[in-house]
Amino acid sequence: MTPAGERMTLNLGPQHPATHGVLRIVIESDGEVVAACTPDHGYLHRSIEKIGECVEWPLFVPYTDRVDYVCAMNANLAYCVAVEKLLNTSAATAVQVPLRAECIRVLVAELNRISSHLIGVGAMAMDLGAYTPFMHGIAQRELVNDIFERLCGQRLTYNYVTIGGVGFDLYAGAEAEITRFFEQFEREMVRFNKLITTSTILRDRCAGVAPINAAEAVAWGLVGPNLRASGVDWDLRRDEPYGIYGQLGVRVPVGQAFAGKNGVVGDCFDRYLVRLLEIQESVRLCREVLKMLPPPADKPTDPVGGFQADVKRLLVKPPKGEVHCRTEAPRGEMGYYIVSDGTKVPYRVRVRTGSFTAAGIFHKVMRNIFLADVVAVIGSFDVVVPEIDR
Amino acid sequence: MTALAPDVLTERVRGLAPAIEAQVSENGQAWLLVPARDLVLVCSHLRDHKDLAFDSLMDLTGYDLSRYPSSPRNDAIAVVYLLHSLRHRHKLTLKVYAPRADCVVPTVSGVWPAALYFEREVWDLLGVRFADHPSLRRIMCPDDWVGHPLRKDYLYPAEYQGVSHERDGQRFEHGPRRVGDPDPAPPTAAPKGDRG
Amino acid sequence: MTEISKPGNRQDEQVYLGAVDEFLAWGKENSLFYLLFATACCGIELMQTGGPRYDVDRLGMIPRATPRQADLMIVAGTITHKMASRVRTLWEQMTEPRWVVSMGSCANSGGPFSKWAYSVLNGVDKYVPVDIYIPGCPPRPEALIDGVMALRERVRRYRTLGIRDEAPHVVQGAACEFGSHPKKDLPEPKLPESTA
Repeated sequence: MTPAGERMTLNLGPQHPATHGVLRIVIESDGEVVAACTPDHGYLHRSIEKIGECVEWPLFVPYTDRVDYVCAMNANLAYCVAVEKLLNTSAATAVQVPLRAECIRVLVAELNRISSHLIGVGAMAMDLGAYTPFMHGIAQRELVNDIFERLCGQRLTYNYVTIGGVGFDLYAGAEAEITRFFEQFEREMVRFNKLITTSTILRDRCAGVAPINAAEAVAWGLVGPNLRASGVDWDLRRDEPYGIYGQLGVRVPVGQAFAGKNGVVGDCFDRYLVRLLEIQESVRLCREVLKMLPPPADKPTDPVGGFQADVKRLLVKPPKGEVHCRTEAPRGEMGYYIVSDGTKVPYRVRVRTGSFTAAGIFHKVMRNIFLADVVAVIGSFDVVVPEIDR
Repeated sequence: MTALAPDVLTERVRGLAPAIEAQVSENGQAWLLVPARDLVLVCSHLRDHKDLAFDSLMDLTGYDLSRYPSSPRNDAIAVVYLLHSLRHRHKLTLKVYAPRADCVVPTVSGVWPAALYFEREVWDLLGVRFADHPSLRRIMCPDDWVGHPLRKDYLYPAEYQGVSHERDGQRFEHGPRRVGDPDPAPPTAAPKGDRG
Repeated sequence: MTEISKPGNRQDEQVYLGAVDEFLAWGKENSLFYLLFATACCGIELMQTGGPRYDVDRLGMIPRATPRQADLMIVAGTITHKMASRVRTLWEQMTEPRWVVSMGSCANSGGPFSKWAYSVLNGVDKYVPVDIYIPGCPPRPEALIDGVMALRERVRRYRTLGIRDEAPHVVQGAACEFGSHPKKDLPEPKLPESTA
């Protein structure tokens, strides 16, 4: 034990090999053990909430992509669902999303959840030194990107889900391609699991590290897989359903000290495994939705419902007032608190993201752990910096 | 797990302090206006009472009321508390009006630690100071930033640390108001420009 | 003696006669180590370009975590005012010869955030001299590889004495040895035609 006064201040600076982006953590370490840490945010603060007060309602959708670019479809969906809820508070502006658009929304949201979790668990494994699973994850993500590119023209920031519908209908052969993707994806996930989930190195590095119990997780505002890993059985898709999620019956994995002997409920391994189980559940949901998909409209190139930004942007004028609406993004709830003054530009758009409160718990959780565990903890929370900084 | 009906919730909360008002927004969303001095008492009760059990602070945010059409307070910043109970599955919205002249609100980070980061963000972007917050400092903007950007009268800086914001003298028409801009025409009743 | 049929095995192809500098430049061109510096969405496309399908490793590019070991900094993503001085620090820590590729609209000129964002630097070339600009939001991996191929042409003409023959892009506002004030009459750098 080194006497106090010999603490080192280390800078896990805004540029570091962990792929989570520009996050800075100032670590005071007592030898190899972290005594205290102070995160420093704002290196990717792009004033997205201020932009929400400056551009028209449909034109904000591309900015929601940038709030969380790893799961951009879910981010688009969160904003569009919130604005539709606001529009539906008054009969004059109520909007009805067609069933086909609702099914396509779930399809793309769950596909994007899969690719987002692949990055999340892959980046965590890469931070712990396992480069290969990340490459497998990226390869699978490329196939999902191909599907999205044929669907809407973009690989990463889609601007696809619009207020009232989606931007384009499914292309010819989409359903067959998605089904083929899932068949080879399930084989690939078996290999992926054999590579890392059953690896003793990963288990030993993650088991029992930084456990968060359920009461703490709720009090500190954790959401999404981080909350579920701590044993809280809460998923907005099942408990506060939106769209057609209520008809789909989402099954929710909850953390149970999966690591076995050394595991504690809510440790890093639980957070990691909950994401893998969610990937499986998303595959199942997509297959169900493909069965439920109604036949397409007469002219398949038209937007399915929806207000296309360049054509109808003047038509979105929600009633004066406010609304709060949250949806389940891969990193937890994405809550929109929107205030409207009745004009075609919002008055206030507030984005509450899961990574923000996950970053809020860093200074509490990263204490008395080894320096090497710091990367395991950051990776297990699956924070993306644009969600923290917006 | 018994979710209380919204009007029952409203009555329970209004019983906690005489000055709490129940309000409804123009589109029918109910919320409660809480005076700042009663905030911590109300929030502690909301979290601790077994029938209410608001254990989850969904969001703590704010917005500037000064340009809101026909708003009751043009000089205040509204701090919004969105509460949720995981046990009973009911929700509640509280608002506190912080006048600009005395923009201080007590912290609720003793009730919900999630508020630590949320309140830092409200301080950074809206300028509402939270009394007794253990580490109230800017979180998004750099430490030497001037001004609170989400306020409606915020003037965008022309430069930061000597580097100008614009490229090669480019100016946007209908862009944001920047420090050093000539004063605009006095505002009329209806806002002009892209809005409306 | 039968003709050896495989290309590269002939006697005259085994011997290189030329300037040491050309050989060194060939080496630099085919082993550009890039700094692992991913800020925002373009960073994900950078990672996908390093992934199995697009694979910049076959071009000799691998990511290095420390700027001391990197030749190339691909500025991928939005640079905010808070981050800008750190980008400059990273650039200064890179050893000569070093090149900078500005990837994506945000690094080129502020991108979708250039008009309404108060905290975004409108172009990383205000802080570091940029060799290649790659437009896109985000640019496809093929576009990034196209930009890298253009950069390789430039690297091929680098000589050890460090005298670069292309006019470097002028840095606005930041002091560095390449230029100190915007010169509008500098010729546009012409990308040379790529040799087959």
